[in-house]
Amino acid sequence: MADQHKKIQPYVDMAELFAMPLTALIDADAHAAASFAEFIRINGFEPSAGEGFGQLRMVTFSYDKAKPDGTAQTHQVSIPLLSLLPLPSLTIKEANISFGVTVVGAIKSPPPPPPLPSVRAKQTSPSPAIHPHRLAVRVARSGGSQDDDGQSVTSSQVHMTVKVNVVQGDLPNGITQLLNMMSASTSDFRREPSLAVQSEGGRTKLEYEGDAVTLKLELRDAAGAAQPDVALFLSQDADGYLAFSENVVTTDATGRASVKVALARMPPAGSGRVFKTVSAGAIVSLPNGDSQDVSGSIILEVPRS
Amino acid sequence: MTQNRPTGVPCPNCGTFIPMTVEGLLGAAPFTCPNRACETTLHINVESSRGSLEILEKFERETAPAQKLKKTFGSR
Repeated sequence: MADQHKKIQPYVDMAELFAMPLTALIDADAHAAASFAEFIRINGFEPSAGEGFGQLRMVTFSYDKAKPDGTAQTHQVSIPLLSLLPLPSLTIKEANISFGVTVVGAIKSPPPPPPLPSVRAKQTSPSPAIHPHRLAVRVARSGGSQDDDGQSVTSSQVHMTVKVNVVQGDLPNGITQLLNMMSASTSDFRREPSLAVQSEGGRTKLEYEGDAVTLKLELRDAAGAAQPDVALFLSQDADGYLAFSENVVTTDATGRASVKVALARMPPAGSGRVFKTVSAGAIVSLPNGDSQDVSGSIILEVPRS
Repeated sequence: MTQNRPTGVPCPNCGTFIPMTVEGLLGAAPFTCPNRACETTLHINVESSRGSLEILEKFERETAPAQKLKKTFGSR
């Protein structure tokens, strides 16, 4: 490396000299972008086995929200860490480069690059260089000039002044979309037990008197864990068209239970379409020692007379 | 030097933006929705957010010297 530095050329093609600081600026911008991407990967995502991105890092909050009956209900919301981190997206807004050049002569232009195969087939003789000669220059030594304060500058070093204005760049579209997606996917979990009521096979219409469907009941706590050995109470709205195989069922080890519901009698003639609600309720114990009512329901359609 | 985008989260109750700071998050401060009609208060769950808080702490530690300079000299 030291030898390479000793072999610095005394002059360069002027076009190359102009391009060098521009290339350096582009490289600097690219390095900044790569650092930004690495910042996102390391801080916003869990480590992954490979080079890719792992799971999003999340921050979890809890908050209380009033239920219609006035009591407070605790909710939990998970937010991607990236939406809480200041993102260092830097970019070069402006660069002023100034230097003087000393023309040391002219050099012969290098031969033009070989033409494309399709062009080569039509060509009979090699094309001449567009500009047969180019200027060979070196950065001028600064001496005898005056700087911005009017002081004499006596340095004999070659001198290039670069002033770079770095600003906060707009977030790349991809990152903006990612943040929007994260905002939309901000998840909210109710910390409340649930009682799901579903009809086996998705059947919700009873066709005739005596026809029956089996209802599947599933009780889970606030964290989604099964609630075994809990009594579930079945009820229906007025009229009593339906009959339950049992009015009280107990959940098994998986928090599930089932009950058969049959059409006990037909609705009166001219009733039109009739829908009946079957409700299931339970009382579950909360981790803080309190108990809470949990309910679920399903709507069944009974036939016209 | 960091992005000017405000950091925070939409209120899960009313959607109003709740600004949050790294210092506040590390101090487990409650964040209250600025909507006077809502005023939902978010409390960070330290235990389940431990990994993310460690990242925030590292970020705070590494950017502290720059933040100190910024406070001393202001942004020019």
